[in-house]
Amino acid sequence: MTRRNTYKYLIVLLVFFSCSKNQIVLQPAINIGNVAFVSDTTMKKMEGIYALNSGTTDYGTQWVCKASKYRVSFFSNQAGIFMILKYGIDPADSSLKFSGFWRFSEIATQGLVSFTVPKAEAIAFLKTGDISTLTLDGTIVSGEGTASPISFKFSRAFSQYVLTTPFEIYSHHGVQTTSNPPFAQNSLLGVLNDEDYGVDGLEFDIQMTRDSVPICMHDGNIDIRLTQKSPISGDYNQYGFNFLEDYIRLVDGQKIPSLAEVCADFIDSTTMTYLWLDIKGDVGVFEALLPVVQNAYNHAEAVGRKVVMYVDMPSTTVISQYQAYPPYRASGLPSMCELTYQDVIDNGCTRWGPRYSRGLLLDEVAQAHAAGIRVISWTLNDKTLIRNYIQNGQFDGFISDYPAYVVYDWYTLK
Amino acid sequence: MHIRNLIIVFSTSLIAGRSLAQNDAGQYTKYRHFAVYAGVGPSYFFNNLTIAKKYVNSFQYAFSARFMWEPKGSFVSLGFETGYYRLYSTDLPQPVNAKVVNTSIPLQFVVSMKFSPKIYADWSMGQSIQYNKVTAPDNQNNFNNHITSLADFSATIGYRFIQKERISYAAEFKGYYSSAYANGTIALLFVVGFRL
Repeated sequence: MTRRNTYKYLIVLLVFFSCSKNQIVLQPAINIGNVAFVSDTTMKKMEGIYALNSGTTDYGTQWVCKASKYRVSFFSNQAGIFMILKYGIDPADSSLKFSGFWRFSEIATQGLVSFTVPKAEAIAFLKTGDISTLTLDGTIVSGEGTASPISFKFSRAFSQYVLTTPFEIYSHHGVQTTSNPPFAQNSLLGVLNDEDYGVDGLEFDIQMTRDSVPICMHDGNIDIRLTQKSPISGDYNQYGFNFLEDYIRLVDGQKIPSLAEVCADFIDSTTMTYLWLDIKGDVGVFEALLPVVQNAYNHAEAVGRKVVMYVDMPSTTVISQYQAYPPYRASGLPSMCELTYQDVIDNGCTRWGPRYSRGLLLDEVAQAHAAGIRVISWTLNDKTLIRNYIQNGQFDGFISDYPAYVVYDWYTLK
Repeated sequence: MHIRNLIIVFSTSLIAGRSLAQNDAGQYTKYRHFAVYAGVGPSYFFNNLTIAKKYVNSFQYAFSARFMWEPKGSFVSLGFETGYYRLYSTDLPQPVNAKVVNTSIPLQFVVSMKFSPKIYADWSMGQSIQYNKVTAPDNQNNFNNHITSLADFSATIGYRFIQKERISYAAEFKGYYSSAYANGTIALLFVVGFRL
């Protein structure tokens, strides 16, 4: 009896000490072999709704296909499952090959998946962009390692409403999925990979260093929730950027990025349009931000990229700082406010970011639209709520920790 | 008759007076419910750093002090514990060239259990103040930071090897964990106790 009690106590202690922070789960390595390059503009023509043609129904029966700069992704109607696939022409048989991984949005279970489009169909698609008869035949491997055949067939194009209604889907803090994400939030690898997860915008958080370098970090102080354990603690604004570069690493080992680095990668290495900068309120932040954001816009213009990068004011403190530095507003750079609609008007913002818990706000959203102001609700994570807000609201976009839900529900609208 | 009554009263008074005098003189000792303990000794930090791990000096020292309420006849006592744990130090090389010292001051409630007159165990829970001192003379990165860590605890096993009327001496093996930065350390303390 005593021994049994001892075991009970040990189990309780084990459970107690097992509680840990959300761990990074890397994407599986993808080996597509030797394939010839196909441009993203060509692959964009693949976008649409696909239905399960044959094979296992374990991963859903209908899919939204989206193409990013370097990947093609599918978003399922089941459990937020998504696939991210490399692609290319197999020189051996001229087929169009896809190879990548699938995973759930809310749990880290994942596995490999591959498809092939035979030569004749592949050539027809690449030459004409016709996907009306496109069929992808392949194999999907479950989390337990069991391989099953699976086949997708093009079902329909996105509806005219979807194609003509600009809708912005943001990843919250730049995470791909909150549950065991593959990359740290507010990171450069997030910038480079988030687009594959279906978003066309990033919400990044802005803190300042002691030497007035805007950096991307949510918390104001160094902690082991977002960074690897280091001998350094305290507030980020107590340290110079070089010091932080040397001795602070994000949970997946990346360096803390400066805003300038994030903007450069956002413009040069993605096709995303929107960059939401959530300002955390350091003194002098707008003075430091102005040249960085202006330089980023200049760079985007120079390379022919159309982007919208805007500062967000989430509190009265940040609004006060914005008002205390009139050159930022005078610069004409876009801005957003999360507080009331009146605050949006008073500060000349072009965007409004009401919290989702305030409801659909139909009248105020209509009023904002009439004034040319776009309204983005945050942070929607519950799949039922997301569907409700898409079907019954008039918002211009959402922030979500699970963008796969938003992508599926938005792009399947009729 | 009158004389006999006087003799009885006188004799009773003598007996009673003697018995009271015996209590005051030796067998009765006033029980002291409160005691303070203070200890010092070497400590060892469990080096779980990811950054600059190889520069960590894990061998440090710790002070501990507690104020206890020890009810008469009870094996369990309650109190308040504080101390000073020098957790670890690091000497970061160039280009930063900084010395970093991390310390902790716990402010915790403690429960103590006596298993025998000599052996006892303590369990304390509460908050700590975590101090982080960075000294980097060549690039002006000198900082003193502190945060409060709310869910911390320590566990102690002690052996009391000398127990006098008001003073005791003991050796304690203490493990301490602070949740905010996941800092864990163990210490071997030499402890002096004094009953108030």
